Amino acid sequence: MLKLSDVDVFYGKVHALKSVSMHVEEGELVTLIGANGAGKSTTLKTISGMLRPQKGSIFFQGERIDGLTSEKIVNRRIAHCPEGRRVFPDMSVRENLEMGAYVRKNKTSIRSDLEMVFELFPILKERSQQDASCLSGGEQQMLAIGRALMLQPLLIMFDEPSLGLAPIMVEKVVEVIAELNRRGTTILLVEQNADMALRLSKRAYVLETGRIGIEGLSKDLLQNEHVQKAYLGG
Amino acid sequence: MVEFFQHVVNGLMIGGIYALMGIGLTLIFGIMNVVNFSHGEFYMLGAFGVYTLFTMLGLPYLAALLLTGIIFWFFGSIIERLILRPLQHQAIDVSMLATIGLSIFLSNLALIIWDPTPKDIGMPFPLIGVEIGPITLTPIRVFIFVAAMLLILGSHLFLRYNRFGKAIRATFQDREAAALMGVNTGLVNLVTFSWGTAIAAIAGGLLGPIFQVFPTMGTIVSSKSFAVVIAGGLGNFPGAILSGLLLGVAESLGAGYVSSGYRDAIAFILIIVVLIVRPTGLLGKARRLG
Amino acid sequence: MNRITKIALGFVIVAVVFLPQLVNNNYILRLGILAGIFIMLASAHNLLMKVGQLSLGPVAFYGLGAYISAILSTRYHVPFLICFLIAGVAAALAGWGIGRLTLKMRTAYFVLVTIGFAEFFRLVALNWTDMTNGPMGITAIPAPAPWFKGYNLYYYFVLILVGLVLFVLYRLENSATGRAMLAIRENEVLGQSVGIDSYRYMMQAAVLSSFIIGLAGSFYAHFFQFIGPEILGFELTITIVVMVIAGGRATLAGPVLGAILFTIIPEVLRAATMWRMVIYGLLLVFIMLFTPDGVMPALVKGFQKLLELIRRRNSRSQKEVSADQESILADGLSNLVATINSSSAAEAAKQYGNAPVLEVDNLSVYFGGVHAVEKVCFSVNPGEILAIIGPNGAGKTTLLNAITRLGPITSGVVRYKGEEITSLSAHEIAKKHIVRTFQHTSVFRRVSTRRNLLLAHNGQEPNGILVNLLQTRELKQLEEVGRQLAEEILKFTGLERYGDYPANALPYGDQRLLELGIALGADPHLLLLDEPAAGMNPTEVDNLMVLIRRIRDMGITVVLVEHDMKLVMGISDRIIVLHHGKQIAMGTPNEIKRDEVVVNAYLGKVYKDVETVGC
Repeated sequence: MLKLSDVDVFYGKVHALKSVSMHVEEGELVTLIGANGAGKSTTLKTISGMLRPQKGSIFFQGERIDGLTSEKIVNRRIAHCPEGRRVFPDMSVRENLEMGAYVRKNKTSIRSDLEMVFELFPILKERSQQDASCLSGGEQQMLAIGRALMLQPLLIMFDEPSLGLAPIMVEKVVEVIAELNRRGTTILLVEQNADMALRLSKRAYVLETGRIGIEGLSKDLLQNEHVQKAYLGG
Repeated sequence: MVEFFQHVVNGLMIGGIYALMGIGLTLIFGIMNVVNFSHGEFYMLGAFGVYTLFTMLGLPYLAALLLTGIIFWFFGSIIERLILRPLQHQAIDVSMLATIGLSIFLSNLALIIWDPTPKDIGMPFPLIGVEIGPITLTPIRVFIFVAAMLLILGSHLFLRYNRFGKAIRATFQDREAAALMGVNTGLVNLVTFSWGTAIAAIAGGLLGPIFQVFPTMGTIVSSKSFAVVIAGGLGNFPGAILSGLLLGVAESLGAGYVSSGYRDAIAFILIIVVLIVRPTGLLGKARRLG
Repeated sequence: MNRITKIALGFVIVAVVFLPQLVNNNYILRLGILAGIFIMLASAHNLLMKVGQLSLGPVAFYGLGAYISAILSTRYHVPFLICFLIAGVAAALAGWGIGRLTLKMRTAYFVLVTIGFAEFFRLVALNWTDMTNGPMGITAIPAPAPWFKGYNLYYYFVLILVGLVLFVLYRLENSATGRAMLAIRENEVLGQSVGIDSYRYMMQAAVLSSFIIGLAGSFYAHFFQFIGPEILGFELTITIVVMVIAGGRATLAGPVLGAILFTIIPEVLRAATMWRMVIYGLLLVFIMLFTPDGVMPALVKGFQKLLELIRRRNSRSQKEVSADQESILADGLSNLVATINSSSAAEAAKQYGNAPVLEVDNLSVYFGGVHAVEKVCFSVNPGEILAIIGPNGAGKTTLLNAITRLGPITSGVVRYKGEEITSLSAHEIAKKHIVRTFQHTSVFRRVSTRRNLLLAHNGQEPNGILVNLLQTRELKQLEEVGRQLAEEILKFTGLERYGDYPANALPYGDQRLLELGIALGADPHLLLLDEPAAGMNPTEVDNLMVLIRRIRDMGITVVLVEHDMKLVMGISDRIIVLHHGKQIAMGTPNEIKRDEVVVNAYLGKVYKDVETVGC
């Protein structure tokens, strides 16, 4: 469904991604782990068109999408749930969710998706008229996920959804992501919390200073000596 | 007492124009992080636009006003593309100096095209005053105030309820997140700047018939709209409206009761006082839009 | 300064000194005098740029100096030199007064308020006719002395002034003051947290700058022998700012070059008659579009490229060096080397005894209706590692901000070694040896790693303007201490090999280490760490754990805000749990892990199941 081949990205003079190749199949939950600064967020930003690859190609559902604007990529139903939640602080919860459906035109199906999100996160319905800045960190994460769902995405990319959350909230986020995947959404998950990510996913890639170091089934990676040492704190 | 109310009414009219200029500046600052020093020149050019179309070419006043707005919408787009977009990622003082250069360029170009002698636009409406109680209102003054308020209200409703208006607000609050929602943030910049330019030009065309039109008329209005924006809180939409009206009334009263020589100083005293008492502007919270 | 620059500079100085003999042309000399005035104005105005503030009100001080000097000499027949000095002092006083009102503001607020003051001054000059003659201006201002005739004398007078000004600015640039200003420009909050009093330096910049501008104003009045309200106009402000920014802001040579360029350009443009200002405006737009950092830095860059080209032709080693760089940068975290030998913290700890070092008593912080921190009480014992945990938004960072006074306190008291510190400001807290780090990596980004550590020590160095101008022995000694400390910290954190790289070129994990290094450079006795492990991988966290323990062994007490349970449970002596601003538990790691309330609110079941983690 999503395929990156030999992608090179530069941040100014910094060579952030070095010929990265990876793929995500329909219905899969794939995770991308690695140290901070290894290029995980850069990978997601490149897929969603915020950054341009200097070399290589990205295909989504068989069509080439690298070089498209982020607007056009969102139109292909790729949702990107950014690191640090990034909800619109001075807009109401409802307006935030509506922004998630910005590129969609069909008003009735937007409304039914809104109900679906409210069903998934009842707390958002309760607070739908409040400004997003009034929500707690965990609730904001729910809002960010709900906002991504409003796109009716074929693929959701989560960037560090557990960052800064209490361990108890992390559990909830994990449940939600697993549930979304069960319902058929394809998911690409970037996580610092490698243990959680590897338990949740089917396959995984390990990014090391801009290169894909290891790839394979998550259960194998959990046993991999290098992964244990570097990312699981063996 | 009657005189007092007359001053207040006159002040509200000028204040409406300050508010109109202020919301454009404040939005351009909020969205693009640009302190636009050529705003006053857009105002001046708008007045000359109406002068050319209405006084010289004989178009109806409303049509001249509308056409001026449209022309300057496109003018703003060109400026945004050519000057501001390339400077998007530079420090704020770089784009500021560029707009200062632009304002020097525009006002001196106007000096060459229309020469420095002040021009009269002429009266588009009958001069008969309408008396409401003890206060006299001339139709042009009523028109200016109503037009300014309608433009402000329209902008507010657009930002509040329109789909693209919401996209502008979202960009204001978090540019990158807005882009991830599929908002074309480059287009948001373009529309914001074009809209601000058009509104400033229309403001010039509105006030033109009351005052005379000359190439350096933008400077003082420009510094006053800055005062309005600062006093209202940078990027604060309702704050700009409130402080615009307040400044208009304060000036009118100050000129009436104190001294007209210091009339123009009131704006600066206002910002100095407001900022010392409330450093984030009149309405406090700085990040708010629509 | 390398040899080529020195030789070039020598030539320029000789040419400038003998200019009257070389050209003997009054028009050129007059331009030279004008350029001299503008160099003073631009260089002085640039002082504020050095602390990161852009003012659009320099003409207020220029006009004030000119008017005071003119009024004193025409009305009261005060001799020139006294007028001259009074003009400078009056402008400096005005700079101080306006600075008190405005220097708390930042960015566009400061910019626009300074315009307000300048306009206000202009309107006073225009309307206070009794004193200023209003729009007519003041005429027949006497020359400095009856024998002061001819452009040559004025030229040498302004040349001496410019020389003095540039000498003073050069001395300051290369002193503790210059470093502090760099720190403020790069990262003001971090500067405060290591003890740099940014307000004081901004005030120094404002006063010195307005003093110089006031002198220039007085000279201008006595040179042209006529002044009017135009010298307070916005156009002159623009001219000065253009000189600074187009020349190269915050550099020493930039404003000088800018002043000369923009004295000559309008003269050349006179040929264009009525199109002159049109072209000038357009030129300004183009300069901003093509050399946004200024002409001087662009020239320097071009010159360096040229040198590099020549060098590359001479040797082919260039390529290898850059490949080497890459491998260094890619290498990630390094091993830890020797510890710091002497530690003032250990001494202080020995003297202090066992009473709590920090006591937080009923501390509350409210933001409007939000109770971010609600009546929190705890104390920190000397030599312990105390962790504060809790979900995002629980008030942990707000609490650290309140203690270090980078954030507000609504009520309550904080005491350090028995002394109340609630009313101190951030840099004073740092001078009490209470130092913190930040949640989001906070370093002086464009400054080399070594220089970052020198800046960290700046809070300990004298901040008087005179001490720095004279470069006293005391200052030199302290600078040497700072240099040695920086080297020791480089070793301690293992960042030695990055010494000359700018901080933003370091890998993420190493930037976090540098942050820790900066905190150590400020000589902490109590160190507050805000999520030091955020974004580190488990291996890096293990290293961090060792480092923090070593820091504690140096006698430094540590308070740690952290999410990483492995780190928290692994090294803390005691833990405090915050939830919705309230303290819901306090105890040893084992007590916290079993606490029902904490498990339900924060840790969750999963954590309880894998209780073996970390310990």
